[in-house]
Amino acid sequence: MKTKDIEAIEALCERWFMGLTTESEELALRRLLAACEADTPAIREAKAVMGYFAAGRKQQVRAKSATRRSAWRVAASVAVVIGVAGALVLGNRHAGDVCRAWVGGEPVESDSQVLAMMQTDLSAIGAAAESVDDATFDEMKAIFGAIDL
Amino acid sequence: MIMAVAAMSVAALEPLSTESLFDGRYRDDPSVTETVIKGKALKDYDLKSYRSLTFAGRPDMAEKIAATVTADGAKATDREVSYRAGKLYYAFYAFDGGIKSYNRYILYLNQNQEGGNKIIVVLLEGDATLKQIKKMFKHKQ
Repeated sequence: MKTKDIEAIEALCERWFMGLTTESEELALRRLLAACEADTPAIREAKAVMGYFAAGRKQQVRAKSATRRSAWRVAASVAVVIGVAGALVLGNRHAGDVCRAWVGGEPVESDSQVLAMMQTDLSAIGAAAESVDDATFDEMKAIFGAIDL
Repeated sequence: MIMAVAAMSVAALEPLSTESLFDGRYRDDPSVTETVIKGKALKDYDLKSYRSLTFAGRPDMAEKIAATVTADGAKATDREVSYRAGKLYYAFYAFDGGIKSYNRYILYLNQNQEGGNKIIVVLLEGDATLKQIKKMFKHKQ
């Protein structure tokens, strides 16, 4: 799918969330989303919300107000957040790859820079660990030296 | 036996107080560096997650951070701690998860105790053994 097409779908999603789409536009959007393999945040969110919206519609009278859609949007977002949080709690072993840092509030997204920062921290802790080991060894030596006397 | 394994697993999943430090509250603090690494970048280290906070020029944070990590340290299966002038200088706490992929480690260093200006707290999670973690300290940049 071309970038232009994806952008058009995203724009339509936004219009739908705002309650500005017509019947035919909404129908077209549903068809487009069903066939769309692109996985952008806007498209993912629209798919999730439409899924919830469709499920809710089975038992309730169809309501098209933007307010109603916003509520579903929030519900779907909460569900997504809970899902992600659950996945992290139950097994962060399956969480996605992340390599980020924030230095004084400024984000750093270069993997090499972030990994270098990790090594700097670990080296500092490693140096301290060594000094603690040395101090412990010296204390033991002093104690055993005293016992020898 | 099953009960023992279950108890061990529950203990392994018990959240650490130190985790709460990584809820993003320090992310915008100008004196703080927060690092979060998960996934393939840690594959060579047998880790699933690396999180660290470095407070530069903030000796006032030592008491709070030390209290948090030492609270967890009471539950550690292995520990190495060193105090300077009655204050926590260095701590290494290991929490054997009892289940694969969930060993946890807390590292703490207060350089302010030795003429430096940083407080570093690191939380590690993964398969890595104690020996592997210590080896990471010596990994050259």
